[in-house]
Formats: sequence, C-alpha cells, structure tokens
Amino acid sequence: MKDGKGGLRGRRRQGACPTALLVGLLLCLSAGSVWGQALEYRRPVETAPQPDNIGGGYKTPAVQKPLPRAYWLQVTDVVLLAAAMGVAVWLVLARRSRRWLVGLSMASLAYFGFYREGCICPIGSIQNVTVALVDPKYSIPIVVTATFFLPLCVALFFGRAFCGGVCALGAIQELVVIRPVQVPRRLDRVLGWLKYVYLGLAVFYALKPALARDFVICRFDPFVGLFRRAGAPHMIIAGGVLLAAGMFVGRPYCRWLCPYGGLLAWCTRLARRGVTITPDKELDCGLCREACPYGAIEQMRAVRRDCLYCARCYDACPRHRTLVQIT
Amino acid sequence: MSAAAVEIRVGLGSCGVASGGEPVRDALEQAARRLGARNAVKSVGCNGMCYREPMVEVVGRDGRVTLYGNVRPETAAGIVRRHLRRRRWFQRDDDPAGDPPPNFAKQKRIVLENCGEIDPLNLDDYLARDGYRALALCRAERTPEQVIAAISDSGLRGRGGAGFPTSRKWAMGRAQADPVKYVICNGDEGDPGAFMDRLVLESDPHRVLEGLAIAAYAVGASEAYLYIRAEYPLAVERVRVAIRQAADRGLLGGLPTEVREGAGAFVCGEETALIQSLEGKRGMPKLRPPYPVERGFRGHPTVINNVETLATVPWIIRHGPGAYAALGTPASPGTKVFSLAGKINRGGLIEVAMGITIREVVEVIGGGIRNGRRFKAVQLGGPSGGCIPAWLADTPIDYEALAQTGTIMGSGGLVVLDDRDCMVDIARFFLKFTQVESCGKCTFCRIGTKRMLEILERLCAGQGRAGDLEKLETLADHVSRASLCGLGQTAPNPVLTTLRYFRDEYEAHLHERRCPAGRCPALIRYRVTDDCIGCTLCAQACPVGAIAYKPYEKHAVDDALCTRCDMCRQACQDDAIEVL
Amino acid sequence: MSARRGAWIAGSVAALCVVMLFADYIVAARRKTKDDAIITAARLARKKRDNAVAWVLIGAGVAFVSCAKRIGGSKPPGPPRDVRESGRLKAGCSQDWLPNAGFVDDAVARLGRSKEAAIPLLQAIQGHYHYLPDEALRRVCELTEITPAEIAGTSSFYARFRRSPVGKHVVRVCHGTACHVSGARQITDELRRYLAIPEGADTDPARMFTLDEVACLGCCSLAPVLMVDGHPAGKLTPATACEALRESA
Repeated sequence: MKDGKGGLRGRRRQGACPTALLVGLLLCLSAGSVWGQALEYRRPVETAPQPDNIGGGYKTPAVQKPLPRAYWLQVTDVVLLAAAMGVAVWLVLARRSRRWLVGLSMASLAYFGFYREGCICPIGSIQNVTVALVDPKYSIPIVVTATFFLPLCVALFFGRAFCGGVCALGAIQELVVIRPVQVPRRLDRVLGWLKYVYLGLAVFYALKPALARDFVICRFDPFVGLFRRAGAPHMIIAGGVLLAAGMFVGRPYCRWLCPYGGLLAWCTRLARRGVTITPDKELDCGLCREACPYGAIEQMRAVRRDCLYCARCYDACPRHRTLVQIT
Repeated sequence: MSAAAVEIRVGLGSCGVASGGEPVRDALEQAARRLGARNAVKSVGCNGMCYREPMVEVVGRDGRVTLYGNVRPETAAGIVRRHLRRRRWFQRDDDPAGDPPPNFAKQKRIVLENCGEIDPLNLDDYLARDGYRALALCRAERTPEQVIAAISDSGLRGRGGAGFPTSRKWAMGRAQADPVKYVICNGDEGDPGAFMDRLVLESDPHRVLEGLAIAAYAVGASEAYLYIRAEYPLAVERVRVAIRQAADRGLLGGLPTEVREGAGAFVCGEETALIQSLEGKRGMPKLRPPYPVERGFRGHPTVINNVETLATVPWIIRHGPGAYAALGTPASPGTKVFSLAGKINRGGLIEVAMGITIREVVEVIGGGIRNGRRFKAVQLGGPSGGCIPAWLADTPIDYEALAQTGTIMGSGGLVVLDDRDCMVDIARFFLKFTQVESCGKCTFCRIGTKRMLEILERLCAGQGRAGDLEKLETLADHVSRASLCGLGQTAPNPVLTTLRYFRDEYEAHLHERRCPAGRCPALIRYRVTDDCIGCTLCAQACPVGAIAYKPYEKHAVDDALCTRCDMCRQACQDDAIEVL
Repeated sequence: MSARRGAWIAGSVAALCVVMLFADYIVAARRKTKDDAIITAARLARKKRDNAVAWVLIGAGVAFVSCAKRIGGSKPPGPPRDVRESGRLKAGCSQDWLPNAGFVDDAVARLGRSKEAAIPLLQAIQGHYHYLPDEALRRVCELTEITPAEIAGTSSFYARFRRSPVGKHVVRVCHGTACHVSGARQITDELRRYLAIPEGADTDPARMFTLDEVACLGCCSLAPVLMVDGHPAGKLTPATACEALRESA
C-alpha cells in the first residue's frame, strides 16, 4: 500500500528533523535581527533638495521620518497571521470543510490584501531576511522575522496551510477558480521549476550592495497593484491577465511563480500531517483527483508539496459527502 | 540426502509457475549465492497445496520443515537469511515467520509421497528415495505372475475412472499368446477440473516410468508409450527428460519408452479411441469386444493404465500388498488422489484413503467454503460424474457408495459449489463439453446430447417449454443406453443427478423464468440499491457503458446494455448492487 | 435575475472599467510634461477617479466570478481518462506465413512415413507455423503413406489443429469446471472486447492475438486461468487478464 505521507521514510526521525531545523533557523534569524535592532536608525539627508540648487527662497524642511505603524498593530498583524493559519489547519485537516475555508480566504483577502495593502507579506520578506542575514547594517524588526518564519514553521508540521486560506495573493486567485483544467503532469513539473528560478533571482538581487539592491519580488508583484488600486501599469495588467487565466488554470502564480511557495514546498517534505487520501478507507474512484485543480493528487495519493490546502478533495469525496467519519 | 545441509525447496509445477514461482526462485538463488550457499535452493514439483503457491519449503539443519506460502520475490531474501545465517542474537523484524504446517493429517500420501520434495529432473533424488528399487526387485526376485498376484492382493483398481481391477487387466494381457505386446500409460486427463495426472507427471515422472516398466514386465510387453495430452507441455517435457535419464542409466531394462502427445480430444482418454489416435487416425472408439487387451495397438495386445494407477504400483511392490489393502474400504482399498477445486478455501491436490466422507474433505481438508458462502454441492468425476448435494455430504468416498448416489468417482476431480452456482448451468456446462467432444460415431450420442443441450440452453435463457424436463430424462436414458463408449454412456450423468437432487431449480427456470442462484445471465437483472453513494466505481468498471457516470448521484444499470458480467457488483465497495 | 445574465452584466461593467482605466492612462501618458514631479489638481482628480473606477471594477469582478461559478462552477468531471482506453497494443508485424517446403521434408524424415506418424507430423507442422497450411498438408501426403482424406479427417478431428492462421500470440482461456464457476466467461468476454475481436472470429484485426477457449489447463486452484504462448497466468479478473496480454505484447 502506498504511503500517503510524503517525506522521509523513518517515522521516528520525522518529528526530530523539522524541530531541529526550526530551532536552527530561529537562532540564526533572531541573532541577526536582534543585532540589527541594536543599530541606530539613520537616514541620509544628502538627497533632500538644498536651497542652493532650487532657489526662490526655498527652505529645506526638516527631515521628517514617516511614522511607522504602531508597534502593537504590527504585533497584531503577526498574531492574526498565526491565528489564520491555525484556523486554516483546523478547517482543512479536522473539519475538512471547504465552505468555512472560503470564508477564511475572503477574510484574509480583505484584511491582508485590501486593508494592509499586501505589505508586509511573507513572500516579500524573503528579501528582507536575506539582506538582514548578510548585511550587518540592515536591520529588520522581529515582526518581519516572524512573518517570514511562521508560515514555514507551519509548513514543517502541517504543510502549506499558509497558501490555503491566509495568503492574500493566493486567496484572490483561489476565489476566481471557476473551471480548472488539469495541466499535464510533465508540464506542471517543468513549470514548477520557474519558482525556484524566481527565488534565486530574488535572492541575487537582494544581495547586491545597498544602492544596487533591488527587491524584485515587490517590484514584480502582480496583485499588489490590485490591492492598492495603483501601481505600475504593466504589473496591474499582468495581475489582471493572471486572474483571468486563473479562472481556467488553478492558481498559476502560486504553483509556478511564487518564490515563497518554493520554500514552503521544501518544508512540506518533512511534514508528518497534512492532507491525506486515506488508503484503507477510500474507494479509488478518482473523484478527488478530478476535483483537485492543482494536480496535487497522483495515483490516489496526495502530493503534499503541491497541495494548496483548498479542501476541494474532501468536498468531492462521496464518502465524505455521506458524512461517514474518516480518520 | 545429507541431514546437515539446509534445503530450500521452491515449488515449480505449472501452478507454481503460473503464480509467479520463477521470479521467486531467482530471488532465492540470488540471496543464497550472496551467502555462499548456491546449492541450497532446489526446484521441486508441487506438493498439492496449490492455494498457497508460490510456495517455499525449508528443511533446516535439524530436519525441521518450515513452510512459507504466497511468497513474493521481495520476501524471498528474508527467508534465505533466516535459515542460512548462523545463529544471531536478534532476528530482523521483517523476516517472515513460517506458516502453520500443512493439514496432511487427514491425508495418506502414497502417489504424492515425493511430490514437492524432490527435484523431478534429478534422478539421484528419486533413487535416494527407494527409486527404481521396486522395479529391480521385480526383475530380480519375482516372476511376472507373482507381480500380478501382488497387485491382485492389494486390490488396486484402475484410477482412471472405471475402477476396473488392475491385476485382472494385467493377467488378461499376460495370458495372450501374441509375442508382441504393448503397455500404454494414459495421461490424457481430459476432465475439466482434474489435474492429478499433470501434477504427478510434472513432479515425480520417474515414479510413473517405474510403474510402467513394472507393468511391462508383468505383462511381457516389448514397448511402452505414454500418451500425454498436449495441454500439459511441462509434463511432456519432463517425462521426456526423465525417460532419457533413466534409459541412460539402464534403469528401464532396455524397454523402449516413448511419449506421444494428444491433440486436444477428450474422447481420446477412452482406451480404444486412444489407440486410434496413436495409430494416426481420428480418435473414434471401437466396439468392444475385442478388448484392447486382446487386440489393441497395431492389432496386438495392449494394456492401458492410468497415470495414478501406475504411480501406485512401485509403492505396493515395496511395501507389500497388505499395506495397501489395509487402507480404504474392503471393496475399494487404497487411496485416491483428488483435485479439490471450486469455491473452496484450500484448493489443490489431496490424497486420501477411500472411505473418507465428502464433508471431511470439504470442511477439514479444504477449509470450508470461500467468502463465507453456503456449501451447496460437490461435482465429482467431471463430465461423466454428477453432483452430490450438501445434505448427502456424509457419503463415504468409494466406488460403491458413490454409485448409489448416482455419480461415479471418475478420475478424481472434485469441484465444490456454493449457493451462487446454478445447477442447471452446471449441467449445461458439462453437456456442452461432452457435446463438443463427442466423436459423432453414434447417432444417439451425437444427436441426443445436442438436443439435450438445446433444452438446457433454452431453460437457462428462460425459454423452457412444457414437457422439457420429461424430454430431458427420456433423452438421457436413450443416450446412455445406446452409446458405444463411456463418453456417451456417462454424458447424461450430470443432468440426471442434478435433476434428481435439484429439481426445484429446474422448475424455477422452467415455470418461473427465475434462476434461484442468480447466475444465468438471461434470467437475472442487476440493480443499484439506495446504498449507493455515487462514487462512480461501477460506472468506471462497466465494460459496455451500461452505467452512466454520475458523480454523487445514485447510479442506474441500463438493462438493455448490461451483459451480466458482474464487474460492477465486484467493484462496488458499499454492496449497493444486487442481483435480482 | 439568472446567473447567466448577471455574469454578462458584471462582465460588461468590468470590461468598461478596464477600458476607462486604460483610456485614462493613455491620455495621462500623452499629456506628460517634462516636470512630472509637480502634483497638479488634474493628477489628483485622475487619481480619485481611477480609485473609484478600480473599486467598481473589483465589485464587478466579484459579481462576475460568483455568477460564473453558479453557472458552470462544478462541472461534473468526465470519467477518469485511463479507464476507457481500449487495446493500446501496437499492430504486430505478421510473421512470414509462407510455407517453407523444406520444413515438411525434414519433419517426415525425422518422424517417419507411416500412417502412425500422422499426429506427430501435424503437431510438428503446427508447432512451426502455428497452424496447418494447406500446402504443407499436401506435401505430407506426397511424402508419406497418408492419404489426403485421412489427413483431412485427422486434422479436423482434433481441437488443437487449426487450418487458419493465428495471430502473433495465442491466448488460451481455460473453460474448465473450476474456471467456469470462477468467471471464465466474463474473462473471455472482456478479452474479446479489449482486443476488438469481431463476432465469429477468434483473432483480433491487428493479428496480434488469437483467443482460444480450451477445456482445461489443469491449474484449477488458480481459477480462472489463461495461457499466453504456453505461459500460464492465474487468479485473474477481467482487468488483470487484459494486463497479462499487455505484458506479453
């Protein structure tokens, strides 16, 4: 019988590995960010317009720093992120109900997408964390560390719950899926490599020295323009095209372009729990496979790293529909 | 055989090969080679436990035998490790444990004594087990008359089906004045459902050769033949090799022995038809007298014996006739090999002393009916035999008791039937077989069986007419009385016995157009019940598209397209398809 | 209002919004002066307008998606693709059926010229050609004492002899008692369907497989059984029977 749980073979080792990785990552990032906090925040003034090159009695205003968001609000964001992921995990793995998950997606879209205007998001935080690890003069607040870190933690144990109901970019694509076609497996695999290429490019450009540094993820985010109703026209058009395509091909950005999705897929390899097509109770009827728009069910078993936690498979299962309890 | 060496036997009869025994043997040899014990693995024949094939039997250093059934190549390495390694403090968890020992308690294995324990193509194996000792004994110390007397004292009867006393046949052959005589081993086991002869020929061919040579000595024959049906290619090949091996060592005493293959005619199991076939003609039986013993092959006296009969002879010579006569019943002494097949848990070959009851065979040895269904009947003796219902299961198995129930022992095919088997369909099945295999010489057999078959087919199609059952009985009577050979004479037996014991089923087919067992395609209908959860498995399984694919909705079977193949019912996991 | 109409309306509104935004953008791009650092009133007005249109667009998009989902959201998926595949066997190259006269001569030299050699000769010829070609039989009559009538009689009496060519592989399905009660008929029917063997024939159109029903193969405990080219396969279901053929193709 095939083992639906992806990842390593030794059961005893599965719990130890993610925990070890977790602890290691936490230490690194905390060290980097705490150290970064110790530095004073300085903003160079040389770039402000000076009286001698404008003229007309212009007085250089005093340097004004934009007020950061209140700290307690930032912490609230992180807490909400964690809570949303917890709810997503519970809804998909325990309740196995798609209806509430759609509600969660809409709530996440509204809050993280339209209200917070898609920033900060874990996807973009890849760049911030990369730079913070490398450049001693670049500091990031602990909330950014947490934002980067929390979805990966959850992925280590439960899979891509972040993608399921929490990520705003994912939520907007999830809600427009109308008639997904099944992408041939080969093509799916090949396209999947694109996200690692994107990840590599993002890290590369982020690692450049300060003035040459370019946060490409933020610059080429197709959906942030929709959330803000403003932005680079080409990216807004790209976002629109992706959404239109997303009606017929499930979540193309999430599956093939999202760099954070690449990291989540790696972490999911170690997850012990996640969406399971239970071997001894299911029928092999294939309805779940037809229902999954993301090609995450192969040969009647869930492919954890492709599973985007949408719970359509559970909804499509005829056994589940007759409310038979499945363990 | 050295007791110190570990022996790993893998069963490679046709059943073993068919269940995937060859990859298992390769895996065992590979594992053994890695541990430096290349010769530990031995390919043997089949010991009759066909339900556990592929099977591996390991004889340990202490002589203890461990049995592993249903072996897969993946677990083969574990078996080798467990037995060939020196003692370790721990055993790996995934090494397989042995199976419980086979239920040979009720069996008395005489013909099958070497099957599954020796390599059939290794002459030394056979010699090590008193092989060819009986033949040497006969040649050296007994006269042919003494041999015949020994067989007579043992009471051995022909195991091909008729049960004619073997010693009498040999004596008649011996008494003929003609200097040229032949002995023939009849390996044309045409009964569907019987494979005893195949197993003995594949697993212990030298035994049969020895018996044949003893028969030749007793009768005074100058040539011996083995007529083996072409559907047993492995048996043909092994016997040919065995003859070469035995002849090379001079064990056959210079007796020219040859294998001739049959060509797919059931009627050639009948003596006179067999002789016709050997002579290159159409296999049509001849009127007897003259019996083959008087004038047979090429016009000379010919003694024809069944494989099982000949395989028993060496044992009788070695152990003495009294030992054989002590087994079984007074009128039917000795043992008989049966091939247990059908809806039984532990099918395969068994050898039991005569007198054991049918119930013991089915329940104790065979392990009861598969899938928890109800025991309905056993079919004995193939197309010449008949059905014995479950309420007569305490009938002892011997020639006389079975004749009283209306069946015959036949060659030993024993097919177990459960409540989902339709007796009218069984009768039709056998009659179709005998009708096709009828040589056509006798009008009553040729046309009578055809008409009987037509009636049965009409019954199974729900188109029975009034008076059909009476006509069936009349035809049966005529056919059996007016046929030349055993095929025609016994062809009506399945019909007669099923009519006798299961008349209610015939009447249901005739008057109510109903098949009580739910088997006859024209009389049954498949229906989806309310337990259906809409999982579409039946729609996927249906080969003709008679079930529309409707996820989450209750499915329905289109009666017009349905071919009653039963695949939907087997595919459904919620038992939501019933047969009406 | 039906979902379809709602989708049309929402879609049209969304398209309109997109067009408006596009137009605004193009006009603004055209009007761009050298100094685009100055925030003019027109720019502010445009920004407000675009914001409003964007909200309308978002609203229309939501409406469109929900209407579209109601129309054709849950399309019943078709049956799984791999189920309805019929025989995917490649058409086999047919063997060279031309009788080679030399073979018959060798066989006769080996087996003898007497009438008794009839069946061994026929078996040898069939073993070589997989059937009995007429020319081969005529040659046998020329070389031996067997008459044409006799050879015709013998070759037609026995079930194993065929007078018509076979496919590349010969499949023998056992119809013995044990196999019959275990479902041999279903296996045969399924194989006929799978190979698309026409009614009344026994070989598939691509001449790869010949299907033969035999009386008993003697592997009764493994019922139902079939033999492909002499190799038995047991405990079959209709699906695994087709697989056994695929493996040997």
